Amino acid sequence: MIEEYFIHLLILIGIYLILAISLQLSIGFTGLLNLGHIAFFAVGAYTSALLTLNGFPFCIGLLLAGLIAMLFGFLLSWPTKKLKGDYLALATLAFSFVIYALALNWIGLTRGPLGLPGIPKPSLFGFVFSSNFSFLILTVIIALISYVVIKKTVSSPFGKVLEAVRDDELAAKVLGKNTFKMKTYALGISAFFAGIAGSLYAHYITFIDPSSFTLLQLIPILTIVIIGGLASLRGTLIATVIIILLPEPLRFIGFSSSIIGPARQIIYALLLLLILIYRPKGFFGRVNLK
Amino acid sequence: MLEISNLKKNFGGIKAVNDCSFKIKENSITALIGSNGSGKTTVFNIISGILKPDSGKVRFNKKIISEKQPHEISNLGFSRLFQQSRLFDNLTVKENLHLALNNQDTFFLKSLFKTIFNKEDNKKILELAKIMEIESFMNKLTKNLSYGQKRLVEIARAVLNPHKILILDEPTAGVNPKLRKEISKLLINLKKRGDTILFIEHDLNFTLKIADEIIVLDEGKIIAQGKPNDIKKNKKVLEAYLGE
Repeated sequence: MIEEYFIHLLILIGIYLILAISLQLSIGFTGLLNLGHIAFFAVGAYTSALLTLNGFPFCIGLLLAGLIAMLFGFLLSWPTKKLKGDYLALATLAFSFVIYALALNWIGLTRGPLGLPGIPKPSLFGFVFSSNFSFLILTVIIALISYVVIKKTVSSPFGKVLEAVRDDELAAKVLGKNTFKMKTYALGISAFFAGIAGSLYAHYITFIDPSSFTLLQLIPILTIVIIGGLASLRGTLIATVIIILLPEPLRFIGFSSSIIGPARQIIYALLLLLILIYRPKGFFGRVNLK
Repeated sequence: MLEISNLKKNFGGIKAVNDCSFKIKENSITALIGSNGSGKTTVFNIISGILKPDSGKVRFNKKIISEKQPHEISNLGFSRLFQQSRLFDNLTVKENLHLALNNQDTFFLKSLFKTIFNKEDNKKILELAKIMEIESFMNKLTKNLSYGQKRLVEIARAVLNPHKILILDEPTAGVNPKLRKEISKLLINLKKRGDTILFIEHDLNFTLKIADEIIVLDEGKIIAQGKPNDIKKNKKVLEAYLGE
């Protein structure tokens, strides 16, 4: 029983790690204060769930979850191309509300508030990842690949241009960099991995509804990025483990689940406040919040 | 090579640039001088594509460039030095310089399989770093540098950026006299190599020493243009710029 519980936590850490490092790519490395990340997660989850519920194999669902989320990332970069800082945050936040409203009201596709139950467990080459342990292995592999690809991206010359855009967009333009293209790429790649995380989430929980993709769900991911430190993948990894495990002792104190939920949000908010006051760069942040 | 014709730019009621026209010859050093607020930097911002003119045109090799984006103008062969520091603060000096060298790094998939510093780039960077005396702090983050050091790195970055014309806004501001000499030597050498240079400068000795042509702006208008020796004696210039 206790093993199952730990496996469950490790799977959550894997999914949240993919979400957080991909958000780190847009916020920490490119300077795009993107609050629409949860919408890409939702797009990935719904894409993969709908495809597999309609008979498509999991690998197609997973891949298209990433690609369609990426397409939404590219689309979002068009209307927001001249926005920065708070304005970009508000526009991307509005985008997440639009996706939430679509999930809630496009009943013919998403079944609205009834959600999508019975999402099949993933299967690859005839092997069904039905046990939590096998799902953990799948999550670890995908999280590892995501981490390596994002690490490689930020350490490459391309990644250095992203950092240049973050530090001084005008100077990057004057050095001949097409900064709009760079920001579009960054948002697209970031959305791709959020979509992949969404697919994993949908196939793990096997049920999704619009309430899984609200602003409340964005807060822990944003907290991880800020606590880990902007532009630090190592910090993001450590912060993911801490943020997922931190509220867990509440379960053993004997609080009811109706208290644990709000208490978790309070813990995240408090932690975020303390970090912003006493260590604004987070654990390993290289960049100050502007 | 570069032709500015009837350029106008207003900010509210202020005429920052008022019917400005001049030409820059290939392989020459031209200085743009004038008192503070005379419109020099605005002209530079229009040439770089940062500002769009209200009217008038900028032509480069006979093609109109004033409608283009800053990165497109840069890729035509323009390299710009700003008046204030515009380094990438959270990157090292070496990374800042590398970013000036290569424009192929914006292709995502290709770039993933490249290292940041290849041998050829390293050689170019180190050669210039020695001339500019910045090699001792190449691995420092630029946000930790002093004002003078930042200025030197910025000049190096502008010089490394592949260009046909260098546009320098006050290259020697805040730089010690020894390095000022080095910068003037560097600019003369760049001209010998075939570069065309347009610069803004308040240090008149520096300007008279290296410029082939001087353009004097006052309240957005050109009040004089000519060889350094002629400009030195021009009454309007003495009145408006030197206050004599």
